[in-house]
Amino acid sequence: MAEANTIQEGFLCPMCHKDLRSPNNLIVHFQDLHSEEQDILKSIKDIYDKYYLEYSDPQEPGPTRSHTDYFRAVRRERLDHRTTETNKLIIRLDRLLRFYGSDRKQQEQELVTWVEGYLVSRCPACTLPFNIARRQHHCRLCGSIMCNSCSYFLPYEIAQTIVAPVNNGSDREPATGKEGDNLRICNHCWNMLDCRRRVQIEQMKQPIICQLYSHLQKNKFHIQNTVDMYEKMYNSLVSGETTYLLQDLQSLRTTIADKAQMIDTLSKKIALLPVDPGMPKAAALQNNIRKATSVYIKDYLLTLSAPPTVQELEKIKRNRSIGVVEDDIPTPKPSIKKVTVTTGWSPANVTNETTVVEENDPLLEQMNIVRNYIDQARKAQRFEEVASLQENLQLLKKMYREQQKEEYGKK
Amino acid sequence: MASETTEAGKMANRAVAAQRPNGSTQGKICQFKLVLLGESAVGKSSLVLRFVKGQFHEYQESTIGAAFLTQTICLDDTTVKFEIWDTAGQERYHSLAPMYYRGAQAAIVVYDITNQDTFGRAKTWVKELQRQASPTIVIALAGNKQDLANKRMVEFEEAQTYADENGLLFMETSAKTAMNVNDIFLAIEV
Ligand SMILES: Nc1nc2c(ncn2[C@@H]2O[C@H](COP(=O)(O)OP(=O)(O)OP(=O)(O)O)[C@@H](O)[C@H]2O)c(=O)[nH]1
Ligand SMILES: [Mg+2]
Ligand SMILES: [Zn+2]
Ligand SMILES: [Zn+2]
Ligand SMILES: [Zn+2]
Repeated sequence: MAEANTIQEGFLCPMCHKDLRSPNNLIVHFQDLHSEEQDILKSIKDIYDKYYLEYSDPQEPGPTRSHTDYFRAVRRERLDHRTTETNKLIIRLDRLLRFYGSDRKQQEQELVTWVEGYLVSRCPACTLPFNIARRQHHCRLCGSIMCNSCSYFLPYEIAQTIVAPVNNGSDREPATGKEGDNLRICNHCWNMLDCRRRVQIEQMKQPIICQLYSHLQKNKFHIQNTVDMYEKMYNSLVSGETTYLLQDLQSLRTTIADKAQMIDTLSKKIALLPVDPGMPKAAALQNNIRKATSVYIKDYLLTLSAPPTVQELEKIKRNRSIGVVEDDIPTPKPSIKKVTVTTGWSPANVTNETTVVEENDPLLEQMNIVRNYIDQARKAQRFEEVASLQENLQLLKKMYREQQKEEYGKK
Repeated sequence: MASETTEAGKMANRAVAAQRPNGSTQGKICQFKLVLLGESAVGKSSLVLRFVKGQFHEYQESTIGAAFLTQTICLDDTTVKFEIWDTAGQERYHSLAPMYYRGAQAAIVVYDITNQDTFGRAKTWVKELQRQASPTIVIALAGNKQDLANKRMVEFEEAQTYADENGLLFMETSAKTAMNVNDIFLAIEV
């Protein structure tokens, strides 16, 4: 019966009913396997020759109608629906992760209504009946019931990564799930979450070499700024200026050494990355990055002058105050400044209550404020700012001295 | 004694000759000193805070002395580092102002569009700058609190005319809604 109902169509072989999918295939097939039936072959050829004669000219297209808009509308609606459903699940998941303690089960049931067990006699996913061996389980996300093999244990750690983007920008505490814990959810809910998760992972995926390299470049950029500052500071110190302290120079040197170590490690890691045999140039690239970094460290960072000792510095200062060397010291040319692109910086506000002792003279008051700013800038290793603030402090001092002189003169 | 001299000299030369690996393509870097002046409570600190940190505080404390902030901006291949002195508007600190506008390449004089007196005070600041500050100083006039335009006491045209007559840049701004805030800082720089 069933066979009688099936209607076959296509380029069927009249002898064995095989579908050969194109006229040429059919003719070749016929010549190979059914060569004794010459007249049938001939009639097949005739049919197709005729067909080609009639239809080889392109046919005028008939009336057409675009369904794209309809398709888009349907698709958008489905996507929207799926997105909102997934979002709902993620919000619920986020709250589930915050439940803990003895009444967790009760909290879970308040979040979604659990379907009553007596209403469901078969697993809605696989239709097998529930019994002692196949027990009912509730999905913590949608409250529906399914059997063990149609549910999934979602580990807390994965749940956290799915939820994380929801937390972005809010100042709530991160969810507190114990490690190794997990949540039972139905396969349907898991599919929705897993889709979202895979999209997210895909978006964040970057070849490991790119990640390492951008890390390396960021550090190099930072070193560059620090080195510029180091040189400027060194020049200022050895010419006897008091804008910076010896400690400032030493702390920068430590920073540079740490960073150098870091980029060294990073470039080693890059060089040791396994190479895809399909990309022969990758190995060369990795080695070049490593080589360039070594050269950079050796030629550029290891050649930095060591900070002067305290005694040397004392000598320089003494000479300067006598005025012997002053004219001989070439004023260090300001090294080219390169500025890190950051968000702005400002010292924490100095308010009347805090650091500033109530001064009657606004000049003295401002001097205290600027001193406080200098401390803050120094702590933040904002040495360009230190220099500008020092300059201002000198100006304030000068002005204060002049003001004192004037008042003295009046008396 | 002589040894220090040569040591320092060497160092200075070294600094100049230092190779800059992969640094050769970096663009121009400008440092830009800027001062804000104006009557108390017109919103000077609020404007700077908006520009530097993107924040606004309904209860901004009145500045004492002068506050210092920096911001770095990239324009194409030019990096501009703003060093900003936000002076206190209270009369008591008036004597400090010259120390901050004298070294500045630009000044933003701020008034509050809902308060006619602050516009008068702004004009006085402009006069003082024209007389005492560097002749090349760029002056911008900011009519702040534009979001309160329904309580406006200073007409836009009045301020614009005044600004044109005195060769000032002029914009109405709002530290609260961020309107024209970046624009006025960047307009000055160009
Ligand atoms: N609605 C509105 N309020 C603003 C705006 N800018 C500042 N304010 C408010 O005005 C008040 C004073 O602002 P400040 O920035 O402290 O004024 P200031 O000019 O620095 O004052 P001094 O430091 O005393 O010179 C604060 O309460 C701000 O919240 C604005 O654009 N719109
Ligand atoms: Mg202020
Ligand atoms: Zn056949
Ligand atoms: Zn099942
Ligand atoms: Zn579910």
